[in-house]
Amino acid sequence: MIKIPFNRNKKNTLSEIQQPIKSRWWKFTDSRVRWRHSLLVKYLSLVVCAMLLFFFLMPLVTIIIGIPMYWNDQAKEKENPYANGQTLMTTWHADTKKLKGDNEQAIEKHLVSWKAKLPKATVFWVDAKGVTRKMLPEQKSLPKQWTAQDSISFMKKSFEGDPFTVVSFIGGENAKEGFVAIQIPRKLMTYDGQQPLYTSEYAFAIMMTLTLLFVLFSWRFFYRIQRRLRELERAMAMTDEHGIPIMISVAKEDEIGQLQHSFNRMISELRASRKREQEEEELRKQLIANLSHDIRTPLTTIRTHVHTIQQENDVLQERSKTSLHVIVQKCEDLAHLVDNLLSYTLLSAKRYTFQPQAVDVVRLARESAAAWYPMWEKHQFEVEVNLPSAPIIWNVDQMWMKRILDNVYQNVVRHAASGRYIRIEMNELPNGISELVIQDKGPGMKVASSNKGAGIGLSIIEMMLKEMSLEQEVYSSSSGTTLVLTPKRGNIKNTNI
Amino acid sequence: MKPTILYVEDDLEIGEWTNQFLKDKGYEVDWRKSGENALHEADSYSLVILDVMLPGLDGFTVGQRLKKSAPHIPVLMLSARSSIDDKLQGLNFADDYLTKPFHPDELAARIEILLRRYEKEEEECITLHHIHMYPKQNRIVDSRTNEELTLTGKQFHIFRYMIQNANQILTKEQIYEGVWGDPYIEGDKTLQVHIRYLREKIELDPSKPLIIETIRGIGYRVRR
Repeated sequence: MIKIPFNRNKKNTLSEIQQPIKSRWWKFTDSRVRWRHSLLVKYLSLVVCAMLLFFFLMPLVTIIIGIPMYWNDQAKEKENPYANGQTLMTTWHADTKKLKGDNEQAIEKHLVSWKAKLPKATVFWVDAKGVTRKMLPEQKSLPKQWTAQDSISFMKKSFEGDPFTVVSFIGGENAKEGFVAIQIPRKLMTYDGQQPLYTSEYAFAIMMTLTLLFVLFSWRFFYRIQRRLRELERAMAMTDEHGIPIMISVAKEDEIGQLQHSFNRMISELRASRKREQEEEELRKQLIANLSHDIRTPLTTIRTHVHTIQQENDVLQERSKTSLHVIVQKCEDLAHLVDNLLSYTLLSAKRYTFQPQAVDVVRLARESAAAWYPMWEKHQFEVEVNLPSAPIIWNVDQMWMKRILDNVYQNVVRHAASGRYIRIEMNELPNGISELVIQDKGPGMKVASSNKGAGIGLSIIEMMLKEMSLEQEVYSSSSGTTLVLTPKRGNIKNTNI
Repeated sequence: MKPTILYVEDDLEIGEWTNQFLKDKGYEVDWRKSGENALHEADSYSLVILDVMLPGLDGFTVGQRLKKSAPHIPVLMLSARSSIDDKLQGLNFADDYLTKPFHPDELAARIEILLRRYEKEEEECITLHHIHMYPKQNRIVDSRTNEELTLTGKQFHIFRYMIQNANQILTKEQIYEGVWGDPYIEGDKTLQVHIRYLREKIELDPSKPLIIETIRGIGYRVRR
């Protein structure tokens, strides 16, 4: 009796072996993979790169692009005569201060010269009585005769308004000799090509580019992994002539690389075991072949010596003759049994040369019948051969087919000789299927034959038929046995190709 | 002259018996227990019988070398190795493969067939029923009238092929391929026509042929 604890122990050991090595989350890579080769590290560095780009590179790029633009704007502004309102105001005040209210020509000259200097500016002169004396260019909105109301509303409108307006009294603050004003549209004073450093469009474009880049790199990263996995999968499906997958070359030492290494290790183990298996098979084959040889050799001696005795036909008693006949029969049976044992071993181990090809079965059946005819003649068989003249092609191994037919004919001679009849026929049925019929008029298969040990022979035939996709039907009665061989669908299909 | 057979067999009991049996059948037998020293003088034999499992060089090797140096000598493998693979390997070079235990009469018959097929000097005269055939002179004579029968080239060829393979049933494919040397084309009636004319010339009653026997559904046979 086996103790339960023993069993349990054994099971525990097994399950321990089968348990996977515990993975620890803080050890983020496999110990066999160097951290710099790890896919995880690679992807993490991709993410970190993207972050760095977002927070450092984006401002950097903006500055790099922004600085030349800023300087450019500065330079442009320097060239603009309207730009500096303060300077303009001071100059205007200073110029006006020098004028006298009665010197009308000087005032006009002052206005014209300013107009020439700043062509887009508007200038006008209002004298001490509040009459608009000169406008460059003409302005409808200005009153001809200024009232106090007009002056106040003008001042109110102009203060910090657009256009930029400078009003100065002719001859100084207290001269009361009228005033001149200059108006400059504010948009002339600033350079409108200038962009603020951080506009939303810029930021958006850069962000989009970075995001796209990140997506692209991520996609490439995973695409490569996917491709390698697919390659591995394909390599697993591909097999060499022994049905073993082919070794793959490992290009990268990352997690997939480890998988590929394991795969290769598995293949070499598989190869080794296949080789071992073949060696064992070879050994077994040799052993049985030798055994067969060693049994057949003494059988030959017995057989030949019996023949010597049989030659003394005249002096032999009837009983002795029968005994000798039985000895010969048994020798042959034994030889066959050994033969079948050998064949069975090889066949069940699929170590038989099997070369299916398109074979004209009509010809094969005819030649086989020709070989067996003398035997049938000797047993006084009535032989009926109905073979068509056109060939019928089956996809079979010629040697196997011959062997099957030999076996059938041999069985007919051995077990159905009393019927003294054999019919071999091949028909092409209307549905395109062909059949080979072998019929005898023996006592049928139910009757126990004197020859035992036929089972293994039948198994061999069954195996061969199965391998060649042939179907066997046997109709047996006390008045005879009919055997019908037909190719299965698979066989026909092969033939058509 | 008796045909000489080189017989290589290491098993003493079988060897001794077969040696005697072949001698009784009227052959000159040279029995060797290994194949090595037999290789050189193979030329002087009419037939070689080889066992496979021999000490030293195995029968397959001996046979292959023999066939290379003297392809005109028939080789019969007589072995207890019975697997199809062995037979195929043997039949790659050998003319016949017989497995042990063998029926002595079968061995004799096969030797007979091989010798006839390889006959260097054809028999002077072959008699079949009322016909005398002189293969060397390509002549066929009706023994009753002593009249010569004229056959066409093909007819003679077919007839000689059948005599060379006497006592065997030959299918029409075998005869066609043996005589014409081309693969048999299905539905070809040439052979049947030739045989019909041949029979008209050599048979007493062409509708009841005695020399070229028809095996219904299988082929033809010439018995000697």
